[in-house]
Amino acid sequence: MTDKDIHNNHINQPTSPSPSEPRKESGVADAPANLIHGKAWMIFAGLCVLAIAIIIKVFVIQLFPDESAQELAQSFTYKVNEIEPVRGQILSSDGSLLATSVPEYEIRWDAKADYDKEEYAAKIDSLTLSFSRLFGDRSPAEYRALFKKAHTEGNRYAEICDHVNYNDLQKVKDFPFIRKGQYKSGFVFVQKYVRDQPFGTLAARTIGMERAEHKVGIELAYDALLAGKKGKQLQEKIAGGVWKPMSNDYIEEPEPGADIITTIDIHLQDVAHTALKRQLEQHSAAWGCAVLMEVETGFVRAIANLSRNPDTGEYGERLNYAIHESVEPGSTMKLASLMACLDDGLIDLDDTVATGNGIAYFHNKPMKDSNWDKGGNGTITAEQVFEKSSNIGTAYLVKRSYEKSPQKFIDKLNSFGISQSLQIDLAGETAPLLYKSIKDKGWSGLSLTQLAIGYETQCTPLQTLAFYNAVANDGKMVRPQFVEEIRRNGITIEESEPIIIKKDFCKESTIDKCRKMMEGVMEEGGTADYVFRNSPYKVAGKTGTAWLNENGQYQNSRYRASFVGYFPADDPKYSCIVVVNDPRSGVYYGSAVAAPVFKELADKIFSTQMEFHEPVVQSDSLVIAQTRIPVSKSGSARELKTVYSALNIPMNIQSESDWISTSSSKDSVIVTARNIKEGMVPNVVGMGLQDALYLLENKGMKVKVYGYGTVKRQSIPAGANIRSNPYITIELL
Amino acid sequence: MKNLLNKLQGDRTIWMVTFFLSLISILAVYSAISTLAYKAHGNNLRFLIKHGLMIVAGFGLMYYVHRVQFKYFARLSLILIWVAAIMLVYALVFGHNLNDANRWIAIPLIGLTFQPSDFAKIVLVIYVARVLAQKRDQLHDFRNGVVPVLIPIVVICGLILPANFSTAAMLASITFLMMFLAGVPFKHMSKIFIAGFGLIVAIIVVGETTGFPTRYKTWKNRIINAMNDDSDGNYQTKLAKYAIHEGGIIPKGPGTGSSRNFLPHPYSDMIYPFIIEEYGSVLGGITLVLLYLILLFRTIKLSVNNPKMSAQLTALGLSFMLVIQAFINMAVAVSLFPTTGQPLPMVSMGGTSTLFTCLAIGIILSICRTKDETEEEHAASDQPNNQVMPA
Repeated sequence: MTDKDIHNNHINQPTSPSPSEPRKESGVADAPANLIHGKAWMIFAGLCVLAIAIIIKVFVIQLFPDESAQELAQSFTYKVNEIEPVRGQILSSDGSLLATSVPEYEIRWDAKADYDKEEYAAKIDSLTLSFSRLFGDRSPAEYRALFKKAHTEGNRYAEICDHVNYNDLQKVKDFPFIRKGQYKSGFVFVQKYVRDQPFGTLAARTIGMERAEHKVGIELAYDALLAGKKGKQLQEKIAGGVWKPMSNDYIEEPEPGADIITTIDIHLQDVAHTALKRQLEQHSAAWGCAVLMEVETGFVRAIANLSRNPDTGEYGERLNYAIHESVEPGSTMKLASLMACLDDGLIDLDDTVATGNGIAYFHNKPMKDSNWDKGGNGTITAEQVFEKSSNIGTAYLVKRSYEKSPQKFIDKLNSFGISQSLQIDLAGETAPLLYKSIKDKGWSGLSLTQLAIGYETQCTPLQTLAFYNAVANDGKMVRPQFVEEIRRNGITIEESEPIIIKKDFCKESTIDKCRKMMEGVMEEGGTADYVFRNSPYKVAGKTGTAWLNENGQYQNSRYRASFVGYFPADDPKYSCIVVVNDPRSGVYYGSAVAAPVFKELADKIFSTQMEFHEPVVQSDSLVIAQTRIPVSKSGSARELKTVYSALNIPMNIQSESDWISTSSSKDSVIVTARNIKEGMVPNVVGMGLQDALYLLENKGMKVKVYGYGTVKRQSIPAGANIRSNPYITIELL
Repeated sequence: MKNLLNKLQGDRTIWMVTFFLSLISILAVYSAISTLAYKAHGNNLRFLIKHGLMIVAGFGLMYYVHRVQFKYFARLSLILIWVAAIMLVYALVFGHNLNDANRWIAIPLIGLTFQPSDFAKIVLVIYVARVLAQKRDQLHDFRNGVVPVLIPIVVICGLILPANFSTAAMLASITFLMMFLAGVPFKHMSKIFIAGFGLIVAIIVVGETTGFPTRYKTWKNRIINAMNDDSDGNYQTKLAKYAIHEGGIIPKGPGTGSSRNFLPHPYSDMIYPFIIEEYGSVLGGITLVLLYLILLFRTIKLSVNNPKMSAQLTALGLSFMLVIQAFINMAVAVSLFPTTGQPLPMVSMGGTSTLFTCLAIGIILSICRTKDETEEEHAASDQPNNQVMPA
């Protein structure tokens, strides 16, 4: 029976067709009811038509799907989402994390979310107070204004806080109102990854920054490798607006970023940074840099670039001076000048030159030696010229050698490779400036002697270092490298090999002569003779003190101090350059300002790296010389016995126990037992902190510790009942 | 059980229809609610239990109400029409603001909110039925017969209108239908119709010029969206279309509807497409339409047994209200009508709205059962002048 039938049956049956007005004062209800119901059935019929229309429309929608509706719904349901790969890490050569991606959060609020308005009104005060207390960047009132503004604007994505770390986020999630649930309160926590450098400013500029608009250093140079490749995956939207992968398969698998293992040694970097910083602070210098390189490989083990913040006066990593700052090298250039003369066979180390009283004139321009006020150096050998860093001596020697054909001097310098960029991985290297020909712009009669002592030419500290390193490396110039290895998912995909950029540097005999000169700098009469006087290793190097040139004018009493060299001199392992620009303390010589940084680095390497130490020869004389047996703290019997037997020290065991006291006699260690009784405070006097704590805390005592060293006193005497007072204080001395 | 069934009076068919509607409601709401439940920290059961309790309470109310004689409701309506008006004013001024519409009043202590318009709808239908029955002989006289009917309609609908245009319009239409049923002459009806049309024009003019009432913009956008198929705001109905299409003819099965993840309010306004998606167009779509038609059919058929004209008009008015609301909801879902916020009576999860729907059905049941019980009062019952209190 269809609806239509029902309707028809009834409209015919009870209705009286009379259209007349309802009867007056009727005791019988039927007549108006009939009339009413006749009309009611009419309306019913109308609604049946609507019902049929609805059902037809349902079928129409099913049979003729609306394409745009399909697409719209699909977009809500399925989407190919990009899977961001994790950016690779940057590590030091010893495995410390130099740069890594850590999550941070942005806290945003949807003012139009479906949250409980009353709850919001009730909790907004305590909520803003919590925000203000945790972050301390705004007052509760300011936070309140933030929420109010979002509310009036109807902002669905109002920023409340940025750069919130994970731990703080957990606290925020427990704030009043937010506690009700993230969705219920309208809060959105947006996760982002930011680059963190766990070692702070250590080598910061070389490691580089990773910001979308501004990348530098290794982050920039190895960006493509670090970034990895975005993946694609079909995802389905599930309850709560969360996207869930349709399956474990990717349309395109994301490739995680590769890890870059740098050549930086974090311990040496620390020393370089700290020493350079101290030196800069002490001399109020504008900036400075220190680079330590491995001679054979060119791997840069430490690179510190510090400059003074003009506002705060603090030193920090801002620019990569070692790579970028091309300056007149000054005295450090003398190695190249004399090397040219020596290699062309025009002079020898014993050749003498008269430097006079410390002032000489070239084309009527005066040139001074550093001790001109003390009467100069007089007549000295070429070797002494270098060791004393005599400007006049160097200038005369070069002038004597090349006066007739200055082009040959230029050609020789160029042949050393010092006019070419090192083409390092990192961006920002400045190419050196060196005359290619005497026809070049700027060349004058003065140029030959100026060039000889390191002016009218420019190079970066790293380029100078590479040149000196080549001398240390038997004439092989290697490219400085910052990356040792590239790994992806723990598997090495690339390992750096030393890259030789210049091989036949000069004659072997010339190298030997140069090294002899450089060693002489640290010896009696050399410019840095006092710096390494007490060092157990031998250093070869050159000091440099150049005038600062600002806007083409050499500045009186403003200098750039530098020291470049290598060590150990006999078998060079590391080369190093230190530059300190514009020291204002009145001390400006490279030996005094720059060399100490070199020394600290060398000391650190020498004291920590085994290869520098001859093995101690086991001989009887050594044991005999030892008149006493070493003393040790009291403690665990097992551990002490292991140490004594490893050192071949005889033990005189008088009584045995897990815990022992030791005392040394003339030829053996006397071992006596320490009795530790259940429920009683043990005697820990004479023990180290580790053993004392172990013993006491294992007995269930709460220990307070003062001082360092060996336990001298304990607040509760041995043998007392622990239960009566479990709180004990021990004093170490 | 048998005892209870014996006590159950009124039409078994209407009881069954109501029972089936609530059964469908529980199943569909449980499935559709998952997104909402997720947002509330995975507590699915909380919403379901609340909804279930509301239905159980509704059936309790229905059972109680259907045993009360209609005459008491008729008398109560005299007072309750004032209560309704006061509550509407209160909601407009102090009510809970949801989507810029002040529709809700919170009941103190028990933490429930309700829409006074839900209550006013029922009261107005009873009140109008009563006045129409009372004035049945004067309906040809516009001033004395029709105006007393129009005044409460205009006042109540006018109070609902600022917050809820569609409910006001629907309620006005229902009372208009009741006047038609009661026999208001055609000339008067056309006057009222023209006046109503004039009112809508006036609202548009005022809305365009002053921006008042605040909901005007929403109404306008909805109508524009319904006409303009590409508009962004029309996406609700597009998603509904997708859900209907996904449903197909054969049931997909309960709990499978993916549209709950994007369909706005799949547990209330958009529950019809959601039911079609899970139960198919035949089992879900046609059954629901038929259930409402059966409810209306039984009401029209049985209300004739009640001798009182006011009772008949009340039963018809309430059942038309339920069914028209249901069909508006469905017509919106299948994009026959512009979007309005009318839930599907008895099926949508609507909190206290369910209770008022049950109250309406209880009253209908009470009116329809009167035949057997009220034989003895029959003679005295339909003497309008004897019973009507002085207005």
